[in-house]
Amino acid sequence: MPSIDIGKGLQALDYKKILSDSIALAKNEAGSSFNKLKPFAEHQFQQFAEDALFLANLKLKKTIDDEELKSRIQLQKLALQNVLLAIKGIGLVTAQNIVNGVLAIVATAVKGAIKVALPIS
Amino acid sequence: MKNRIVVALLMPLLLVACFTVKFITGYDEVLDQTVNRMKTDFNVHFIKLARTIQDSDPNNQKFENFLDYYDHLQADLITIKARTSVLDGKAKIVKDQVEKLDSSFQVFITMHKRGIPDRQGDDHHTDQNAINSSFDAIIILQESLKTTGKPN
Repeated sequence: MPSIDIGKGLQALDYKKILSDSIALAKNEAGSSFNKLKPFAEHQFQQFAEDALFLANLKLKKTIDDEELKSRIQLQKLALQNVLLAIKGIGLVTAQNIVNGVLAIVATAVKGAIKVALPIS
Repeated sequence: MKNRIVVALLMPLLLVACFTVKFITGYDEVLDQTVNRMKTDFNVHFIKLARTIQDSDPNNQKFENFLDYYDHLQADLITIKARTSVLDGKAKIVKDQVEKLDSSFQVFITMHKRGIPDRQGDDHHTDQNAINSSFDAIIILQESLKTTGKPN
């Protein structure tokens, strides 16, 4: 089995490439998530504002009573909470994809430099 | 000497690199498909219900006339709650989303049981929007979870 000079191998690692590839991956991943989330969040927040105003008007005109207003606002609140949970979840997915993507970049560079395959699945 | 410093600096990174990280649960195809179907079923139901509250018949919107839909809805809610209840701690957000959807429907059902009068100018579209938002929130997160572990 041929011996590996880790010192030489590490010197062979292209740190600049690892860094630039990692930054490019993070930018792409974050940008993709933002592009997905922005229209969704904007639409949901605008709709929530319009619907809350619509319900307030119904109450003002005495079309609906306190009990009905309470139930219908409760529906709006639950929907908004669900939207915020989605945004939080997508943020986690984005962070996870960036971390795992960077790990894969490092693993590829290490394999190229010192011929060791890191167990990244 | 220089090599030793480089090794010392790089070692933690190499150790971390031996694992992939997991911050959130994976994609659930059954949940995704069930929620998409529930959204369609709900909107068909709502269109029928909205028609009855915009006419002059005060009886056709009664809860009892829509029991078939609500029976199926309750069965679907039981299914998705049971499915998410066995997921691990990384699925907390998905579990919370399903619970919020369930709570939304319990509010809606209580409101319908109490009675929805015929009323021009109020077709209850705000309620439809709210429940659709809850569906969409679950669906968009599931779509995002499809990319878990692989960058876009």
